[in-house]
Amino acid sequence: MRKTILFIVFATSTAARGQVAIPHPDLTPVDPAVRSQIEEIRDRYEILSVDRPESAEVRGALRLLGEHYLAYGFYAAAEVSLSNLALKVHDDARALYLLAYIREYRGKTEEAVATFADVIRIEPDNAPAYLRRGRLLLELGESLPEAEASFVAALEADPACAAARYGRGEVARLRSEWPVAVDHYRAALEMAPDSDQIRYALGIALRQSGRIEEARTQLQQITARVTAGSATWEGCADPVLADIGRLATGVAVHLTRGALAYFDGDLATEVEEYGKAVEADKSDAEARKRHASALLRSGRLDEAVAEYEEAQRLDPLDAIPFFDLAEIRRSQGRLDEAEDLYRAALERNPQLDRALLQLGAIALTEGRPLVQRSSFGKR
Amino acid sequence: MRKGAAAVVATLVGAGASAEAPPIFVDVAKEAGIDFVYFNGMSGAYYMPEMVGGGGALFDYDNDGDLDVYLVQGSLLVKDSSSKGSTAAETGELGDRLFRNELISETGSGVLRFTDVSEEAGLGAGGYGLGIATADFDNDGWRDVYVTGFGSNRLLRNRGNGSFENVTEASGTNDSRWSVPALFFDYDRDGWLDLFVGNYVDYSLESSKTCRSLSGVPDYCGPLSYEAASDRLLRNRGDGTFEEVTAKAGLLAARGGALGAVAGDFDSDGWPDLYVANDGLPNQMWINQGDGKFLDEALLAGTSVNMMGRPEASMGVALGDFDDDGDEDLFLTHLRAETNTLYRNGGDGFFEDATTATGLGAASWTFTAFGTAFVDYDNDGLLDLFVANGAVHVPDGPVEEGRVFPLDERNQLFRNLGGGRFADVSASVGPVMSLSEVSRAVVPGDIDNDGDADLLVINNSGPTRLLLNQIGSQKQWIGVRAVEGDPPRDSLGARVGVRLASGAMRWRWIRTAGSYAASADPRALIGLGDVERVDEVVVVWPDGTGERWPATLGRYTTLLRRTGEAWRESR
Repeated sequence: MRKTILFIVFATSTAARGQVAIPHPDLTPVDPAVRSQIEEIRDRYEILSVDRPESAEVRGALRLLGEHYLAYGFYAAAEVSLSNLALKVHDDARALYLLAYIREYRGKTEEAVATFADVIRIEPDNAPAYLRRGRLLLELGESLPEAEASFVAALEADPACAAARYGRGEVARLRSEWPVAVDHYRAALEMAPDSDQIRYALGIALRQSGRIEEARTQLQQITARVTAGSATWEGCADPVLADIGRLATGVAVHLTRGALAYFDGDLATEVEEYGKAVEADKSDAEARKRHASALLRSGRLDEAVAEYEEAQRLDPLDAIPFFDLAEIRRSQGRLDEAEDLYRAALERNPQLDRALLQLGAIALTEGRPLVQRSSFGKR
Repeated sequence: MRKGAAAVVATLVGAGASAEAPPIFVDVAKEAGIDFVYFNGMSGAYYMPEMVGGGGALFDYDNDGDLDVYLVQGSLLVKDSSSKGSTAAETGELGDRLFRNELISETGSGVLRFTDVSEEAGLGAGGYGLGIATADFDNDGWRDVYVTGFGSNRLLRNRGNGSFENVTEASGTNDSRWSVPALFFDYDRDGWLDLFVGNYVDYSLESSKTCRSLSGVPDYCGPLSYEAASDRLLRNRGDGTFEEVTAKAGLLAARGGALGAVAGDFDSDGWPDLYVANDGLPNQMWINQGDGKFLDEALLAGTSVNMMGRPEASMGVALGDFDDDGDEDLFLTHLRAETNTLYRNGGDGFFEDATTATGLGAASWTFTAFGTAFVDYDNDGLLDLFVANGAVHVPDGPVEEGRVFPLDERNQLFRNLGGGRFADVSASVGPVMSLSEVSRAVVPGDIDNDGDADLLVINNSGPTRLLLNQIGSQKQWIGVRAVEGDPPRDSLGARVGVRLASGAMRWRWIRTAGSYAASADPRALIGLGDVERVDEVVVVWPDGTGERWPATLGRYTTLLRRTGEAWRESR
């Protein structure tokens, strides 16, 4: 009896060919447009995986699902989807590359190194795979010659890849071969002259080579452009990831990119992305509201007020635009207007304690301390 | 015998022992008599100063041989105009608190116990306090206090009778801007301690901007919403007054929103330098030129920006020789989504970003860190790192009802494993490390004089914690108070060393400044691991001259300048 059960389990596993159940990520906080897009792909995949599990269509659906999960940042689900695809199609360099990228992102460094090696086996001139593998080998600190060989191969495949040249500099730095590092960093900087990271590395390598004044000259140029990009991917084309970036379009993606810029502290990009979201759909109140907030933080007060007023018009039940406008009016000393707007915000959301507190503060300013006390009491 | 018994238990329970091991750090604040909550004056308006306090000091104000506790207090930011007066009681302010340590006193019994002596010390109304520096600025043998804040700062002269006199105006040390870090150091080596005050941003409640979180709810603004304020250097004239020398010293050449500061001799020329940690803008390493002037060499030193070439939101700063190579390395705490940064000193005043290589990078990615200290908590001879965490932005997700200040995070302790690596051991040193609070200052010091490093952790809108180290004397140690002058005062900037069996020296520096808004135990505590004997202890004074004395392990010794045998360093 036991033997029979084991056989059945084994047979099922073989039939599934090592496929792992794809997690269902929580899509609740996701923009509705994105959610319906992902759910539609997932439904299609699940129907096909039952009806025609070995078909080209199911493989296509699996790829689409994995890539969409990745595009919207659901890394665990994307990893399982693409891993399942790689088990079905062994020489799919694109799927393997994305799988390796996800593993890198998720901190599975050793697995990522091995998967990038699989990509290189299939596509011996895949520059991004060499570059990423080299960087991971440096991070592991295990084999400098192997890392160096990866960067050399990346440069051969893509001679414009500044990051690969920077990688060669890093190998030299870790060997304390400072003059060699200087040469590589300088060459990388010529390819990507706006990179603060490369310039910083060059400055430090010059310093360590005893070329103090040259070091100072390089390093002094950094502070002037503190917001420049990183050498991580300078000058290196990555067509596969660029494709993934293009999957997500419309208001939702701009809202997502704006949010990511917020987390990066990149206010200029935030304003730009939320502006694009408004352009993509002028009737989207959420886009208006976020654009207004970013404009406000950029000091573009009049534009922010206009966007908030538009958001109020589009969604008259949302308390936030009323509250934000109240804050602006309060900061301008227009307390009567602010008070009306705080009250309007509270009417729409009676739980908005901050509006109550601000009303208390205004009351105090106008010599009405009892309201202030009741406000604090509520807090 | 105790060690043997512990070994047997460990063998019997095997890998499960750690789960049942007694905690290394235990919070004893309340039971020892320190009942203090930093009040941030939160009104719902999201005024920036609300989220940066508070600070505190461990210092022996009554010269009885144990560390007392000074805690800086906040106040309401928007005040009722009817409040008048100068004392805390008259203004309705809570006021700073001074807790006298009764460990060593006329009535003391060797038990760690604190008495609130704030009233008899005459601390008075303090305004909106944030940070603190302590030192004997008037060379009378008693440690004085400088309190920074949002609004006026205060210099409190220790009268030596248990009370303090507010000499701010008379001394010319007031600064009405928003200050957090301050430190005393003798930059001109004239024997009188000068004062550095770090200022944050040009901000007033009237000009306070409205900022939003990602989800659109009101949130605290970041520093770049305002202009960075300039810092200040005040030269001690030696007559109780200070001279404004900021411009003359060249310190107006750069500014950046200072939240941390520390003094050290980074270029080993015998003149004390300054490092200023700025929030969101490049940091400064002011190198003392020996002629009253300073030059910012942070870029060349490699400590201005991180290895991405980017400035970070620096808050706290710690100096210490984590790799035991005889020079001080620099550790900086930062915002969430930045790593804390460890700069390794190459021995020539040039630093290299060693964050990733030491394992400290990824561990800090999800925390916002403020106070920090290099402490050898287990006395194994290697400096470990304590990091006090607490966010500065409200979370974007839903906040549980009742959490009115939802910036809490847990603190972290990183054990130095040797070989240039650290490991987060927070989970294994006691339940106190799993508390989620809005921690700001951490102040290291041996508060019960038992030879291990204790930690005072000051929380914003939460109880102050006194983390008593239970390691005790499980490993060998030596403690030194290095003093100079008559009457003697702590020789800030001196370094204390012992020669190890390997022939190498292990160094610790005499310093109170560092961390965040904090002033620490000025004594050197050197963990020695299982070393049985150390022949001599050496002090290299701030001017570079050295002296040596016979070493006594397992106790604190006061070493007075010019009482030892001359010693010259051979490197």
